[in-house]
Order: sequence, then structure tokens, then C-alpha cells
Amino acid sequence: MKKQFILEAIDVTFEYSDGTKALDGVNISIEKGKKTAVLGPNGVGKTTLFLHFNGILKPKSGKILYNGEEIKYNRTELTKLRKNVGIVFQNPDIQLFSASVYQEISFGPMNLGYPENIVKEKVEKAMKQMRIIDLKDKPTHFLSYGQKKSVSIADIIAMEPEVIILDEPTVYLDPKHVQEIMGLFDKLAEEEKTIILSTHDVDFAYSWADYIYVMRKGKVVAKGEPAVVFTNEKELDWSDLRKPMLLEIYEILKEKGIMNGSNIPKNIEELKKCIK
Amino acid sequence: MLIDSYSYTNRMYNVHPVEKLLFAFLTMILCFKFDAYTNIAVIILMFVVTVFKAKIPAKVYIKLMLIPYSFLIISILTLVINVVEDKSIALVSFNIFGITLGITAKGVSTAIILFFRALAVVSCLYFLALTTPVVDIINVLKKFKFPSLFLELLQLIYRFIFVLIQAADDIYISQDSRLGYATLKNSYRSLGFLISSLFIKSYKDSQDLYVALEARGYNGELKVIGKDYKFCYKNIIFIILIELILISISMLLRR
Repeated sequence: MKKQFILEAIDVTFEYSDGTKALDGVNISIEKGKKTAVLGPNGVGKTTLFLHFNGILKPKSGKILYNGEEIKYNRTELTKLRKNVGIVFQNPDIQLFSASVYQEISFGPMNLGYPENIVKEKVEKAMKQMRIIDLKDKPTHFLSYGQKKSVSIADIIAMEPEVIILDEPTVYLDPKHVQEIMGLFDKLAEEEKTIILSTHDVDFAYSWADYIYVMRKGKVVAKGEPAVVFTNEKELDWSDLRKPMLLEIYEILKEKGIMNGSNIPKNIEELKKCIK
Repeated sequence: MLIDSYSYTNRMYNVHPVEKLLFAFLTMILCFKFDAYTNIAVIILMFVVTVFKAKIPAKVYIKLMLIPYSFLIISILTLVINVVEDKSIALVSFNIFGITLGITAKGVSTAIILFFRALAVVSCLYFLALTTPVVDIINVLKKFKFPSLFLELLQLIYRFIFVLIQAADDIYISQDSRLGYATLKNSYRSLGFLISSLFIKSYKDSQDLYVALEARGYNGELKVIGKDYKFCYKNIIFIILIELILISISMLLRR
């Protein structure tokens, strides 16, 4: 079966007006319905890349394809694209512009031109999915960081995009929230949604993602399935990113000869099963 | 920000904002129309409604009412003490640099009316501020077809006041923990840094906000849906009754 790519970046180069090269010939293909993680330290152009996928930034050279078609930068096409590709920004305090949670979430669907009763349905549904119904009447500035993050994700879910892009979604979150959000992403993936996120948490990326891109200085330096990327040491210079803890333990155990099976474990449960 | 937090947690939060606005503004008009007795009645009325109906703690309410006093007393003094030409109508008078200053009966009565009127109007405004969130007030204004540019500005300013305060607070704490406010000289310097970095941060944040809005299909208008409220006829009848009682008592006392 031929793989279906929903978003593609082909030879994308981008320079900010002050001359810094943020993206330098980036090639990325996002498979439909998959969970993709973009790994890399701060300031390698992950956010810049995401803003290209949503049509906010226009590449200096190269092109962005959505569903195999090059995106056009006129208002109607952009609105269509932004309906289908949603971005959850890193800092919820900047994304959330309204003092009321309900109003905040209704902003996206309203911009898509739905009538009010349908917008209400979508807002309620998104709040249910994020489990924030009880925040409905709360003002935004009373919320904790984790709650603000949940609202900022609901903002995007309410627009029902095909692709959900999350910029560093796990930063500052407590482990419980990270768990919840991971579960939510899995659920969205089951609904055939494509999820892209950036992170520098290699452990999270390793056990969560179907496919990984590693970026450095505006370039993609490695790509592939997690187990492949992290075991291919020739391609990677581990000074920027460390190896996932789970993989290191696996390799140590394998060396000592107490490993069963040849599959590389993706999480603790799989590791347990491998141990003799 | 005390008032703001009460506006979301008080017992009248779910009352239709139009009803609350109507009540506050109708009463306020009466304060301007009638004299001191009506104003005293309004002060008591607003106290009762805010403290017993909306369940704002009496202590908080009284503390808030005390805030305007410092302004009030200064303005009252300037009203009470006037330049008098005819010493015989003055209750008390004294000479400074050849000018006769004194207190007249007329001045005192104007001052009394102004004093109670100011307090009564303030209490109406406090009632509104303590029971109605800004978001609701903006929604009502939108229904009354206020210009959307003005309302959107209001909405964004209100939201980002809190972001700005938080940012200022964070910077202040980080400066203070490094002895930034240990001496007067340090304080001036630190405050300067705080203000300039806040300015730069706000500028950068505003650009990021624009990008975030654009990503959700912003096209020049902040379209949102507000909360649903239901009119309560009992409340409206109550408002009309109270206003009628106030008007009729005031008319009777005027004679």
C-alpha cells in the first residue's frame, strides 16, 4: 500500500528579516493518521517549520504540500488550510486572548463561519474531550498553567482539524497532565487525526511517536521510526540529544544476555516482557 | 484585582447582566435627580443588596467604600471654604492677605449633597463591579451595538492586564531575590529595568498573539459567543418596584 502523506515540506528554506536562516532545505513528509515527533534543542527552527504548515509563514524557496497539493497563499485557501491544520502554541498565556474560557474556545469555529448553535455544539464537545467542562464559566486568568494548556488544546480541537500540531506540549506540565495529554493524543490518533509535536524530551518521543524527525540548525539530520533513529548512532551526534533511558537499559540488559526476543521495546511493559 | 475575583464568585453571578446594569444605572440616575435623603437611601440599598443578596463580605464592601473618602474630603473642603464678600452671611470667616475666606450655609449644604451623592453613585458602581464580570458587561455592550473595535480593545486589554501583572510580578520577585530593591538607589535602577523589559516583552507578546490568532483564522474581527443568560421576570419586577419606591419617597420628602 502506498503511504498517504498529508503534509509535506519540500526543500523549504526560510530566513527571518534580520537574515538568520531558520530553515535550510528542510524535507519532511507527515504520514496521515500517524503520530510524528520533531525532536531537537531550542532554536533549531521547529516552531518556524510549524508556522509554515499553517500558512502563517511563506517559504523563501521550496514548497509546502497539503494532501499532495501545493498550498496557495490567498485568503480563502488559507482559511481552508487553517481549518485543517491547527497549531497549539507553546505559551497558553499568549494563545488565550479572551478572559472567558467559553468565548476563547468559540473563536476558532466562529471564524470558520458556522452558525451559533453548531459552534456551541463544537465548543461543548471540545470541552468534554479535554475534560474541562467545569472551567466553562471560569475566567482565563484564574486557571492554573495545566488548565490553560488544556483550554489551548480545546481551542484547536473545537475547529476539528485533520492535523493537530503541538509546540512543546509537555513543557512545564506535571506528570499527571502529561499522562492525560498522551492518552488524549492516542484517542485523537484513533480518530484518524494526524498529530505532530515538537519536544526535546527524548523519552517521551521514543515511546509515543510512530515516526521521528531530528532537527539541528534548521536542517533535518535524522528521520525514521523511533527504534531506528535512536539505534543508528552513526547518523546522530548524541551531544545534542541523549538516548532514551529505556533504550539504554535495553542495550545494557541485552549485552548481559538477559534479554528475550529481538523486538526493541517501546515502553516499560514491553521491556518487562523481554526480560527472561 | 480583588473586585475582579468577587465578580466571578458572588451569588449574583448568574443573574442576567442586563438586569444588573439596569438596576445600577437607574438608581444612579435617581441619585443625580434627588437630594441627600434619597442618596442615603441608595447607599443603604446598595449595601443591603451587595452584602446580603450577592454575599460580598460586609468587611470587604466597607473597605472598598472607604477608598473614595480621601478624594471626597479634599473636594468637600474646597466647596465648604469659599471667598465671601459679605461677612454677615458667613458662619465663620477669617482674613488672609486681604481676602476674606469663610464658610457659608449654602456652601455647607452643597457640600453635604455632593458628599452623599458621590458616595451613592460610587456604591452603585461598586454593586455593578462586584457582581458583574467585565466579560459580561462587554457582551451587553455588544448587544447594544457599541463599536466592535472599541469592545475588542476592551476585551484584549482586560485579558492582558492579568498577563502583564503576572509578568511584572515575576520580574519583581526575581529582582528582589537578587537584592534589587535593597537600597533606594537599587530600587530606582531595578524599577527602570522592570519597566523597560515589560515594555519589550509586551511588544513581543503582542506579535506572538497576532500569529496565534491568525493560525485560528483571524480575519480582523474577534468573533466569539458569550454565555447564555435568561431574563428573570421576578428580578425585573423587583427592580421596577424598588425604583418606584425610591422615586415616590423622594418626591414626598421634597415637599
